[in-house]
Amino acid sequence: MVATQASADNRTAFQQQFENRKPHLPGDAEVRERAMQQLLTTGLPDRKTERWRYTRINSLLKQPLEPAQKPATTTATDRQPLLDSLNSGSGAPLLVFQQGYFCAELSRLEGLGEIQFKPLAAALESGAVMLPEAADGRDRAFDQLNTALVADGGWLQLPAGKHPLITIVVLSGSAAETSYWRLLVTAASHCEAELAIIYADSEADQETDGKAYQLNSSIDLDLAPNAQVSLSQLQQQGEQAFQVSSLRANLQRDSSFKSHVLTLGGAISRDDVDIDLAEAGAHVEFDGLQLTNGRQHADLHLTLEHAAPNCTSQVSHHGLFGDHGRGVFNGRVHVHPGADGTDSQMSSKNLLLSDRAEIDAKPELEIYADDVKCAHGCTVGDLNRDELFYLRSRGLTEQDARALLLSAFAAASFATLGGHWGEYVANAVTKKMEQLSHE
Amino acid sequence: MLIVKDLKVEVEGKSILKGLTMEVGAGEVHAIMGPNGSGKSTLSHVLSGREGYEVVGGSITLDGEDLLALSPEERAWKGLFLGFQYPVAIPGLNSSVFMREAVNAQRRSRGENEYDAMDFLAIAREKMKLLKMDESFMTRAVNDGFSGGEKKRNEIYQMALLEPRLAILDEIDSGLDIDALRVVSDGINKLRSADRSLIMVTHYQRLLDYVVPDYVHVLSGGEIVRSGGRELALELESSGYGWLEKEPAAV
Ligand SMILES: Nc1ncnc2c1ncn2[C@@H]1O[C@H](COP(=O)(O)OP(=O)(O)O)[C@@H](O)[C@H]1O
Ligand SMILES: [Mg+2]
Repeated sequence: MVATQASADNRTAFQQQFENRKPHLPGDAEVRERAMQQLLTTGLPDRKTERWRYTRINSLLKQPLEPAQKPATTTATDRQPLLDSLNSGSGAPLLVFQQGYFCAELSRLEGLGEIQFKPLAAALESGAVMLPEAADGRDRAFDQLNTALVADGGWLQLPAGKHPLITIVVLSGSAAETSYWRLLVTAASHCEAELAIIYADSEADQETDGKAYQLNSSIDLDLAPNAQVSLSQLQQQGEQAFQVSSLRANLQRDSSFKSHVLTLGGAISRDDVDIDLAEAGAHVEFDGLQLTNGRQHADLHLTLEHAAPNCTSQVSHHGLFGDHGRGVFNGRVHVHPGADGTDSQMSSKNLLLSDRAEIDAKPELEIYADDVKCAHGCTVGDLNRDELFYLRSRGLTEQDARALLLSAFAAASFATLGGHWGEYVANAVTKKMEQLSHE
Repeated sequence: MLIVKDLKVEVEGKSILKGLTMEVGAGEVHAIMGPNGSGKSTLSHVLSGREGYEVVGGSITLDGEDLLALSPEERAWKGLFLGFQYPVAIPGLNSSVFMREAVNAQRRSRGENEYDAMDFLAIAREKMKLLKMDESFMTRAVNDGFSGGEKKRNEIYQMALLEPRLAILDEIDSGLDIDALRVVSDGINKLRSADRSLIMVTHYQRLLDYVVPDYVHVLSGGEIVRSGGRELALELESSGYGWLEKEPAAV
């Protein structure tokens, strides 16, 4: 593979960043060196990288932004109302990160109970945990960068038993820099836990924000046998942001993982979700929602490795695109030899609200086992005429019926999120929907 | 109150209703019976304003007003209600939110105050009792994962909330077992009143044992071929529809 001039240049720039930063980075340096080496060898995604075909980022990477430094200790933020609204007297734990760094002053650890939490820097320093090896390949360049450059984040150990909701707020700086954030989670056998993550910029008023910044988020999650974990991510970045997120989950025997990726903000966002159903009886429910307008671009690549027998998965993606909004959904189900009794359902439903909006949705099935049930469907279109008529026949105007159906369409993807968090998500989506339908 | 005159309807260039005439007075209950494909749902849909049907002749008036000139929502505001043969499921749309919006849209159209969430809840509870529905229903999405019986019950619940002046119930009995049929018919009977007219569209006479009509019409080949009292339904039960098929039903 011949690297283009541009990508050869930015590789060097990233290498320079790494060299400058290396002396201050916590934990084992070797895994970082190896990640950097992978990047230098294979390079960054370009036009020929299949998994990045629809998401062009060359111009973004031409001059790589500097990694964010740890911000000065602060107790106040424009985002205080957001934090208050999340907390609202519930006493539930709240973990706040600024520019990728844990911010003790804004967090609430009291409600954690049995849950063990450490800022990632401290956990890496103490040797309690190591960064996992980064994946190979040009399409995994951002993982490699995260592994090489990340300085902080969180480390969570969830013991057996039922735990309160943990809310995690990841605030990007609005300066032209890249925040690196990493979360490592292990869920013990018979643990029942729920994590809610919000990505936002540190300035409350997104409308007036015109600054480009980047966030590179990466999450690793291990579910021990019979663990039940729900992890939802709500992306509400400012309109100039570029966010890359990766989520890797490894599911052991009879564990259950529910996950949401809800993308509302950002100029360009890319999510790579890789779920490994590694042992028998594991179960996954995944919901993806993309709401874009203006010139927003949201890309979700999901891979399910059905590597063991009798695992089940349900994937549902909803996309709503207005104006010049774009979406990409790639859902790959890979059923390994011997993964008999696999039951996998995937659907992608998309509504285009303008002639200029676009979605590229592609389910991919690769099946190498017998006795497998796999269903997938993909639709792109306008609202269902029968549903519209049903509502109008009850007295709703066409406009009200449309608005209600659009909300319902989006709501279907977070219907399982309850309580305070569910309400927060519903409000965020309602606000975004108002923008979408007023164009 | 409802007058249908010589109604001719085409779907995709195919003639379905071929000159249908009927009149429904205030408080009357009419049954429209007929074999599959005779045009019963077509009539129901044309009355409620569904798109895809071309009215090529005749007229429909409600209290003297041209119904065909109105949108589906305007017809609903005039007090028309359609109970669907196949109600659609709408995942993500909460049943209570939907019905509160619907009730309030109709109240607005009449210049009445809208109900707030509490007012609505009280009324909804009362109507649910009428249909022996479980409270959990309020939090479910519209018809999503409902059994056939639950869907039909839901239609009558909606009718109870919207209090129409003219309700057309399209095969409200299909897919119901005998217990569900009893609950649904009980609900309908409780909603009968001197100023509420009903058109019951059905394939089977069974429903009419529970909701006794004032008039029965037999629809065949896009026309009403016979009208009579309730005894016509009984006659149909014993003789079937075979006798009226001068020409085979267009399917
Ligand atoms: N959307 C449609 N497109 C084409 N044909 C239709 C459509 N709807 C109804 N028809 C035809 O019209 C006739 C009457 O249908 P319908 O009104 O549903 O009858 P019924 O309700 O009495 O069973 C049937 O022959 C049916 O095939
Ligand atoms: Mg019918």
